[in-house]
Amino acid sequence: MKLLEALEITRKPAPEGAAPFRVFLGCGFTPLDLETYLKARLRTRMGMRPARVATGLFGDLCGSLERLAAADFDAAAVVVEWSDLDARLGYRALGGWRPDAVADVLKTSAASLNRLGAALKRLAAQVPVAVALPSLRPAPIFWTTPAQAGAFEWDLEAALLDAVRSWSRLPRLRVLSRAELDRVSPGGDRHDAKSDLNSGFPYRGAHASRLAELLAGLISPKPAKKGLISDLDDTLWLGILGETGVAGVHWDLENKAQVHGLYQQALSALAESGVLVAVASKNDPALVEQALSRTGLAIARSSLFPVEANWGPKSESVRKILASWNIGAGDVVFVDDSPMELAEVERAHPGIETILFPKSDPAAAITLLWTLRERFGKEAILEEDKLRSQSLRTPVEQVEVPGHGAALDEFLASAAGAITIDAANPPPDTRAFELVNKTNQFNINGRRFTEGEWNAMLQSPGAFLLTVSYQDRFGPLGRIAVLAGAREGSVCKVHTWVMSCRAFSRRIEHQCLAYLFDTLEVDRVDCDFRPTERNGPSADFFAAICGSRPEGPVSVSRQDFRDRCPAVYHKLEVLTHA
Amino acid sequence: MPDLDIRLARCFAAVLPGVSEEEASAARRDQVDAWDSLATVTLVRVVEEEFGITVDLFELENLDSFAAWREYLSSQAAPAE
Repeated sequence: MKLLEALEITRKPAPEGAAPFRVFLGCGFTPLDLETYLKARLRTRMGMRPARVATGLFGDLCGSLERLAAADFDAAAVVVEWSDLDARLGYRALGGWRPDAVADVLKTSAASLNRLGAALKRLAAQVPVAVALPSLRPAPIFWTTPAQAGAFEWDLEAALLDAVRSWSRLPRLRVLSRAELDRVSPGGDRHDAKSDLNSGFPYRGAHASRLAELLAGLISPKPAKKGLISDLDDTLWLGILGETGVAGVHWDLENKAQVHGLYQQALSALAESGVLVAVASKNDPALVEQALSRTGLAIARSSLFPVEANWGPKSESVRKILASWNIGAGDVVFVDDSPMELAEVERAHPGIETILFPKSDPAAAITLLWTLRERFGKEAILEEDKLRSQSLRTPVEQVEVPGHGAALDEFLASAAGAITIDAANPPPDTRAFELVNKTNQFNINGRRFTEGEWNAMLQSPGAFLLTVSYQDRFGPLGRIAVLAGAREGSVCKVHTWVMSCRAFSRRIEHQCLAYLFDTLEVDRVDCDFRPTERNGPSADFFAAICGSRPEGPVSVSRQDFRDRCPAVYHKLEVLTHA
Repeated sequence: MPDLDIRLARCFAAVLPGVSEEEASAARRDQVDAWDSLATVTLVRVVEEEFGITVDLFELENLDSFAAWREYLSSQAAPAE
């Protein structure tokens, strides 16, 4: 992105009613183009929502962060340069580069890192913070030749890495990968000496643009995709199963098929981290089962569900898989070596992301592996992610639940369902936030939050957060529902209520409402329902409880709920926290 | 309008809030409130990137209007597209 384009993006009108996304850009230099690029990148990522960027004082990164009131921002981007650790490591100070000054530079740098770490920790306790480490070379203060990094240079690097290692473990603090920055912005082409000396802005435009793009991605990440559907022949393995037979397909170095083995390995890792992985292949199903049972396959057969092997159109297999997963095409990536198959699936399932498997191009295949990490990357692997993976082997989610009537009651009564409602606020991890931001069907209004908005909401007076877990005799589903709102006298106002589609038809939503009436002792529950294109299941629930399908906010009285709530059979446990 | 004028007007409109591309050709530093020192630095960077030139900072004092910028750019050898 060029600066002119970025400036024009910052001037574009905002969607009506869109609240500005407030970001603090912390840097010790004049922010200039970096501020413009950050605004433009954020607006582009957030549907042209306005981005308001505030900056600190020139030459005082630590102080600017220490003085910051985090509550005034949705996120922060902090760009550290060596001169922020000690001005003598940059080009705008004349403090001396004498050999006997180097030890003092190290000492000052260590102290600055400590100060910076404390400020970042305080900040990240409230809002997401992206941190970029020094991306320019320190000034030539050391006495070795440029090609040799001497002991002092390594001491400086070690001090930085020691600090960053602890920063990277802080929740909500995301350290920008230097390797990724090196990939997109070559190291030798970053410093703008003229601008550094004349206006205090040290970066060339291209570097500022790429740095801003990565920082925007860290503070405003795109939701991760949920599922991957893969072809088999010349994709999961090299060879055409129907032609070469089960023993004739390969995925190893010896058979010049390593990229397929690496792809299997990547899919296995995705499956273990909670991504749904399925197969859509035009093949003989019996042969496919034999091939998938071969030893040495880098992904377990049990990690693939479902496996749709048949001679019908791929789009039909994809349709069955999406129905089985109960998720939309927009949450899924489809990988195949045939452009024709990709086009056919894309046409039948608008919104699905299709990726060509480049079987003859190792460099492109490795790029594909990084692309998958980009699409499915997550900050932490939670217990629910592991459960999702396990449930493919012990298919708790595929239990046939009768639709309604006596059969459903009989099923639920015998299911030994247990619900745990955890009222921890703030929550212990990001599961509630993730669930709210990725659930579409049972979601009373489709509202999405930034992390800053979510944390601010949880800290508002009277706010409550309920995180609901479920298990029954078929196995655990983990934390599958979230309710958030505030109690106002005898009324409970619910502005957020989502439940994973994996937990439908268990009457968990009824138990949640019962909890609000009984435990919070309120007479009425007001839910900020808004119809969306996909939240039919929550509309159905309110229609059953209120007697008519809602078009907007819903009020449920204690009496109405008692009159219309069907029997619930769960064992209920409530976790309260002092 | 010559191509150079169109491209320069786009730069002015992007850098100076409240100045449209149509109004840009009349812009003068002493008549546009938003044309402060920060805007000057940004204008230099945008023009350098758009026209593939390096602006001589000693010329900045004189680059105080659209007309002055146009004349400066015209004097540069073959600005890049």
